[in-house]
Amino acid sequence: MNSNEKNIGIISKGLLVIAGVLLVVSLFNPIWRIELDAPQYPEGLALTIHANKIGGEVEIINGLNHYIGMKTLHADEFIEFTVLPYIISGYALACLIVVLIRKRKALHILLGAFVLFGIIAMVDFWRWEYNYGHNLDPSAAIIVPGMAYQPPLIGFKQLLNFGAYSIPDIGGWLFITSGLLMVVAVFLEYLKTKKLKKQNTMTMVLPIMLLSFFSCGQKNPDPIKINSDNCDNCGMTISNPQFAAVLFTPKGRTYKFDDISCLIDYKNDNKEKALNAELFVANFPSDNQLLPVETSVYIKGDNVKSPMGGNVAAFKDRESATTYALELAAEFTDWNTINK
Amino acid sequence: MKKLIVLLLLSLTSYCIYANKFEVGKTMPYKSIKSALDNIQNGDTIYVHEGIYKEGNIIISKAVNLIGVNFPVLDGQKKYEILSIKAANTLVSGFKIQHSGFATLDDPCAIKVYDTHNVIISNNIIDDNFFGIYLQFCKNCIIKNNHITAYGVEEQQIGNGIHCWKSDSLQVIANKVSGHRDGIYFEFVTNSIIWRNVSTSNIRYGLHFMFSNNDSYISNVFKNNGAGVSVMFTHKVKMINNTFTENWGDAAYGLFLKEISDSYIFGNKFYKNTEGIHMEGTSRIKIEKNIFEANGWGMKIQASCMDNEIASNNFVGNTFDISTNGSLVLNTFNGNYWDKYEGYDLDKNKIGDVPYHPLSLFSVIVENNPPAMLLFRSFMVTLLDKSEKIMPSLTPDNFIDNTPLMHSLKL
Repeated sequence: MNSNEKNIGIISKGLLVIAGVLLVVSLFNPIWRIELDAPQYPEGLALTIHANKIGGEVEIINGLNHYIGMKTLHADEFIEFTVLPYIISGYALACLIVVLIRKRKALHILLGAFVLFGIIAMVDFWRWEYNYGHNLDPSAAIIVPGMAYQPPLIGFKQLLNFGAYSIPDIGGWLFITSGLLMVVAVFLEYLKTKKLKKQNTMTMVLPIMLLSFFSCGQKNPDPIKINSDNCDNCGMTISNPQFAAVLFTPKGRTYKFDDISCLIDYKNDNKEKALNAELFVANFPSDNQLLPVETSVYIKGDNVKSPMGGNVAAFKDRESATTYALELAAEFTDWNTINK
Repeated sequence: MKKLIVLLLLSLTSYCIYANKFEVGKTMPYKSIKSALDNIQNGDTIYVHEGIYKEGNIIISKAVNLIGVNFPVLDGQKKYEILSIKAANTLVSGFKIQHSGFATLDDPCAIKVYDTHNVIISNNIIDDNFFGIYLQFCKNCIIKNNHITAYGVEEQQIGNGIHCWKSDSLQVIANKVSGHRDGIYFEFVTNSIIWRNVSTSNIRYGLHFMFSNNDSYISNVFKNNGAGVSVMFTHKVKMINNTFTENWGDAAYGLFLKEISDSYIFGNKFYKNTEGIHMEGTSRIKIEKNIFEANGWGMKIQASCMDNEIASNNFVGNTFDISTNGSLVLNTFNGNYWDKYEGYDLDKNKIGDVPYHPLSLFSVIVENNPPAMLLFRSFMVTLLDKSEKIMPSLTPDNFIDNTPLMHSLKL
C-alpha cells in the first residue's frame, strides 16, 4: 500500500471509466431542454439542445417568436455546436488517461477542469439566452414595452402566456452524473488516506448516486397509438385518430377512447376515476393533437361518421370548424350539450 | 310456327339495337373509358381492353355493363376516387383498380356506390387503395369474387376493404380481403348476407358489425387479424360455419360480442385465438355445436351477459375453457364436451354422472390479478384447483354444466 500512496484505487478507476462512457453517451442525447407550455399548445413545445445541434419543435418556435421579433434559431450560427462535441470527447478521453496514469493529482486536475467547463458552459448559455431574449426586432408585429423574453437559466419562468421551463435533458443528466462520479472518486481517495472502510463509504455515496437518476412525474397524457391502443370504454381498437378522446387522471393515468361519446359514457360510468380528471378531445383536422374539452368547438351531424356513432367532431376554433361544418352539413354544438 | 320464329328474330335484333357494345382500348374506337361513357344509353355494354387507364375520377351515371378484358388497370395516381357508381343496374367486372387517393375526410375509394340499387361488382382485383369498395344508401347489391389488398401498417390510417353504410339486402360473397383496417365493415346495414369470404391480416377486424340487424355471415374464414370479428350494438345476427383462427395478441379475440342480443352462433370453429369468444352485455344468444380448440381462453363471459345458452360445443385444448369477472351466473351450459372433465359414466348414457364446473379457480384469480399467470401450472395452483372443484368457494357454484359429455361431438 505504501508504494501506491499516490495512486488511485480500483473503484475510483471504475468510476472514471463509467464517467468517460457516460460523457460519450451524452454526445448522442439532448443535453438541455427548454419547454414552453401554453393553452394553445396543450402538448407543450420543446426545444432540445444537443452537443452538435438544436432539436425539438424549432420550426414552430421560430414561427412563434417571429411575432415578437426574436431571432430565428439556426444551429450553424453557433460556434458552440462545432466545438462542443470535441470538448466533451476530450473530457471522456481525459478520464481514460487519468485511469491509465493512475495519479491522484491528475484526478484532481480533471475534476477541477470539468467543474470549470461546467461553469463556463452555463455562463455561455446564459449569455446566449440574454441575447436571444433581449435583441428584438424593433419592427416586430407585437411589441410589449419593457418586455424581454429571456428564458430562465434553470427552472420556471412565465413569459407572457407561455410558461417556460429550462431543465437538463438526458445528456445533461449524464454529464452531471459523470461529474458526480468524479467527485465520488476524489472523495474515495480522500477517505483512503483517512483509512476508513470502503463499505461505509459506499453506503454513504450510493444515495447520492441514486439521487441523480430520479425521474420526474408525468404531467401530460400518453399519446394515442393508432391501430394499437384499445378504447377503454367500448374495447375497439382506435384507428381513427380524428375522433379520439382522452381522460387524464390527477394521478397521471391516461384512459383513451375512440369516440367522444365513449369518453362521456366512461366518465359517467366511472365517477370516481373521472373526479378532477382532465378531459381532452382530438382536433379533427390534425392527427393526434389533443384539445381541452371546455374550450373546443364541436360539430355534430350524420355525415360526421365517428367510429361509435357519436358523430361529433372537435375543433380548435370556430374558424376551422366552420369549413368542415359546411362540407359535412353538420351543426354546431357545445360541450355542455354533448356532455350528458 | 313461322310467325313465332320471325317474332323471335325480330325481338333479338331489336335487343341488339337496343343494347349497344362499345370497345375501349388503344386500337379501339374509344381511347378512354370516359369518352365511351359519354356516348352510352342505359343498358349498354362497354368492353375495356388491356392497358393502363389514368382518367382521374370516372363517374358512372347511366346503367352500364363495364367489363374489363384481361384486367385493364384503372389507376387513381394516389389522388382520385377511381370509380363512382351513381346509376342502378350497373355491372363492373374484370378490372384491376389501384392507387386511390388518400384522405381522411371524404374516404376516397377504388369503387364507391352512391344511393342506388341492383349494382354488381365482381371479379376485380383491387390493390393498394385507401378504401376498397364502399356502398352507401344502397339496396340489392352484390359484391362477389373480388380480391382486395392493401398494405396498411400499424400507426398509420387506412380504410376498410368492403365498407357498407346505411344499406339493405346486400350480398358479399367469396371476396378475399387483406391489409385493410376492417376487412368487411357493416354500419346500419340490414337483411344482408356475408358468405364464403376470406379476411386475413387486417389491422383491426376481419369483419365488423355496428348497428346492423338481421344479417348473417356464413362459411367465412377470419385469420390473423387484429381481432377476428366484432359484432357490436346489433341484434338478430346469424353466425354459422365460420372459422376464426390465429387472432393472437394482447386483447385479441376470435369473436367479440358487445351489446348484442337474439343471435345464433352455430357450427363455427375457434382455433388458436387469445380469446375464442369475448362477450360483454350480450343476451339471449344461443351458442351451439362450435369447436373451441387451442385458445388461451375458450370463452370470456363478462358479468353483464345474461340468458345465453351454451350447448353441445367441444372445448378442447384451451388453456382456460371459460372465464368470467363476476359471481352472478345468468347463463346456462348444457351437454358440452370438456376435455378437462374427469367424471365418470356408470349408467353408460354417455353423459357424465358428475356435473362439471368449467370455471377453474385459477381463471378467476387471473381475471382479477393478471400477473398471477406466472404461477400457472405450479403445484400449488393445481392443488387449489382440485380442492376448489370438490368444494367450490370462490367460483360461483351454479356455474355448472349438469350434463357434460363423455366423448367429443363429431362436428
